[in-house]
Amino acid sequence: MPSLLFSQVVVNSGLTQIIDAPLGAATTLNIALQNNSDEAKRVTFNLMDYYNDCDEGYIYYDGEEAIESSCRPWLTLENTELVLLPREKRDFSVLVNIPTNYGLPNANTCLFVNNTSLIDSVKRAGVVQFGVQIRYGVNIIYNNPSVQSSVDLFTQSLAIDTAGVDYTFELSLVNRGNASTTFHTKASIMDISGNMVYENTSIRQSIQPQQCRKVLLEKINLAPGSYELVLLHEADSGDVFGVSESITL
Amino acid sequence: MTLNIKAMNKQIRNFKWIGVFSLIATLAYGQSNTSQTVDFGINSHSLVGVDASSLTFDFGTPTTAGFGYSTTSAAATTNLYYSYMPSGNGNNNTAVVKVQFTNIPQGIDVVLTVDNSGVSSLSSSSYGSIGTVVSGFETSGSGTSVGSSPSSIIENIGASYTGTAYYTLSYTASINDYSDLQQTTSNGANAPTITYTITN
Repeated sequence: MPSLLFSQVVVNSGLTQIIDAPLGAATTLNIALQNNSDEAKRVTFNLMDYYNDCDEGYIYYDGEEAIESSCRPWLTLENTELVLLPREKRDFSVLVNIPTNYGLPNANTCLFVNNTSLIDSVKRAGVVQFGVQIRYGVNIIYNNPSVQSSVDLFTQSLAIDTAGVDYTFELSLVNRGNASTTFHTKASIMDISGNMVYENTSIRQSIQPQQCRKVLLEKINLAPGSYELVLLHEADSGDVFGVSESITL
Repeated sequence: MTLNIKAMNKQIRNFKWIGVFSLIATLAYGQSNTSQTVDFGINSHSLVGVDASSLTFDFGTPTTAGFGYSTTSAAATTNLYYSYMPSGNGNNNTAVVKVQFTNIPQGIDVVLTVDNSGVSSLSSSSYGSIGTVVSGFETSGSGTSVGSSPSSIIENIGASYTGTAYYTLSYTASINDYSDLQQTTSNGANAPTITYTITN
């Protein structure tokens, strides 16, 4: 295995941090870091806002002014850089001061944990070299308990891959509501006689407002014919969203 | 072949009663038990690594007056590995790896393809939910330009690890405007950098 795999500071506390507190509260997020190297390693930290885009995923916004739904102004980083000793494990603290008058249903921003870029010192004419940097994007999300929130999981497309031995269905969902949640999808396929010929439950996924997620339904072994696909997207918010679609294979 | 069904119809929402029935069932079968905390030692982690500390494009050096660089495009490859364990708050199969260039020299375009043939045959029961290559970056196509904005290249990553297998990232840098070329700084804030980001 390449040594570089183990020679970096890594994040051990998950890449999504939920701020669970009422308006006006102060709390602390602890980001667990670990230096996997036998040398001291420097990491830097910065916050960057982002938008969710269904096609492009996260679109980061590198402006000084925070976007409207940003929690960046509420956050105070313990430091903008740290040096971790060889094999050191430690928490990096992010203080959160939630304003009393925040009126949107949710807020988010991204904390980047940046390893130092490595650059090969060899340089020749005609050669363009890029140093390599590994970074971790920790999404920090706040759901405002004081605002009426809604989740609306909308199935916007279904792609059927017929290239393999079995069919693979790829669903694309978008959360048209204003709150984050987690969900899983129960899928059933019935033949024209109403017999269940396929059933599956997807793994749980998180989904933020205006974010798209894909659900893969694999190993669908069906004979050519007409079927009815029934989907139930069950969200942790308690909402269930159903959709049915007639398909011909 | 891929069939696409857009704007699915017959969508129904808010079957909250399903959740209610589940709750009733849970309560009806509730019993008094002694509980014991068990720690299986499954901890969240996120590691991304590549097998080289730099990405080098060699356009060849002109050695005779009147010659330019010996080629107008240069290739470089990197093998990408990862290990990922979500934090258990429902964020399974949602991690992505993004790539981004900083200080890419003017006059040069970079196109990337991602070959997953090294990991596609890994057993999901042994290696977990290895991600999928984002549309446009597959080797079946001609690749996609990458630049100063982060581009998702691998998505739908769940609890998984690549082991000794890897994704092969193949970059092709092309000179699109010779007049824009200039020597690049090899260190400091202006040094050309490629950043791999894992996020959820």
